[in-house]
Amino acid sequence: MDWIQEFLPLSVERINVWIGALCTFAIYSILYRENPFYRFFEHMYIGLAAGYALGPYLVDVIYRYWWEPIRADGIWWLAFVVPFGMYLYFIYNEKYGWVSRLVIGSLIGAYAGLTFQAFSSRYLPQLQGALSKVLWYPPNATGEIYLSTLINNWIFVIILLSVLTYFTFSFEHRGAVKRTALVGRWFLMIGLGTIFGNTVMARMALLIGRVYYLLDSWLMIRVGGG
Amino acid sequence: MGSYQHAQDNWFAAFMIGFIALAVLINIWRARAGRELYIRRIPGLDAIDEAIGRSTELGRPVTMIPGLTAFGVEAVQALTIFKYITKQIARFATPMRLLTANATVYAVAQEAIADAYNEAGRPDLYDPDSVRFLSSEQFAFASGVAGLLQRERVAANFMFGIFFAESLIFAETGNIVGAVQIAGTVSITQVPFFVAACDYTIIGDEFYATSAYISREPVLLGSMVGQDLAKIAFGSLILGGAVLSTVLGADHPIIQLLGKPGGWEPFMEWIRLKLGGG
Repeated sequence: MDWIQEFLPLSVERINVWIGALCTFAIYSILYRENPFYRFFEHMYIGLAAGYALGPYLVDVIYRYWWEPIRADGIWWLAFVVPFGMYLYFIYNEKYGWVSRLVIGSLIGAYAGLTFQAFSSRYLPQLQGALSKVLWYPPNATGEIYLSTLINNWIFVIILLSVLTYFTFSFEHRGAVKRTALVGRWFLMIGLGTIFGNTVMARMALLIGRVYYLLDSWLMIRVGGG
Repeated sequence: MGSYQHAQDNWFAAFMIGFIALAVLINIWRARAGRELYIRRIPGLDAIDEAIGRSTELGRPVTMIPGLTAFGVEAVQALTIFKYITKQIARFATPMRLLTANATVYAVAQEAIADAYNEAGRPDLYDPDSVRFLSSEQFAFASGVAGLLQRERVAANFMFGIFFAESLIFAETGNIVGAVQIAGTVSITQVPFFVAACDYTIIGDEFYATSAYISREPVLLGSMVGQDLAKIAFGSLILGGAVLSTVLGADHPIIQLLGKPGGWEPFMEWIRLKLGGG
């Protein structure tokens, strides 16, 4: 009887746990088929997410990064930013729809500039790392070179060049290029398989977490961990 | 301490970026001048046409999902592909749904899809409600997409853009309802899930090539050809650099110069020593 008393949603804490369990069952019920139970919780989830997103937008963006700098630091020109962003709503007006394109154009321009800037920090270190791979014992090496390092370097350079060949599009893949690209495709698939295995492990951990919640917090069956 | 991000102490970086930008710009200019730039046909393109055909036969809707893509290059490329699909299905009045998690993408997608129906000569078929913003929250969006795929029993599901952990939820749900699924993403950690659960997957840069091939837009075509030149340059540099590193040693000033921040000074010092006979 004590267990039933504790199990039932008779306190705020237990009501929270029950809602959590109910949501879990509702969302997982789609694995069987689409049903009204799932539909209700799906729409509730989307509604809650919309409401929840509004909070951070108002507090973290509008208040912290817009209103406060204007009010406290006197950065007056920020006052133009939000009205400019709101020009996007002109998209719904046939006559003045072109105004929204000012915002869209600015977004694309900013994105292009940032991508250009990020290119150097993302790809050039990789290029530097790749082109300094030693493929054989250098005649004037200062440190010890291991055979395993050389084998790794060979594998690295071969995979890199073959995959790079696979991702060329402006000419027909024929003869040696076609064979190299095919090797690249195989290596790519092996790499993707590794990612798949790793991520499935992580997803299983998430599922175990949910099952643990249902068993431990909801049903109060103490499992593992002593 | 040097930086990879700025050219002040990394002339190699400045040279490489200049080279890539020039290769892209020259090829865009060539494409605009009317030169036929070649892009090889990606096998996934045939799969797109087959999926459209199947949805037409079944008369069930087609869904298009740009994932969690924020408005940027990938969103524009995804919308280019979605416009192509919409133009194809408009000929047979097959219903479509475009589901997005980004407000800006939503606004632009509405225009793009309306344009596609106009270009197909069927503006009457455009239903503003067919382009839907579900939620900006990742798993709320995922639950909305999963519900819609099941409710409408979609015949074909196209997923192009940037995806995260929600990718497998979409692909598995599409699989459950028996939809033909084509996915294309540059999110390399999500490609394996699409490969496992979709009928055809367009991997990495193939995504950009697909939109260039479909649209024949000079900017996209020129960019693809320019990027190919950059890839060939990168490949040659890696091969040449590895040979030089093997012959001269990885810490030789020439290798330092190639890409490493602050490599200019040791290189010039080495040149001075060489010229001075040191």
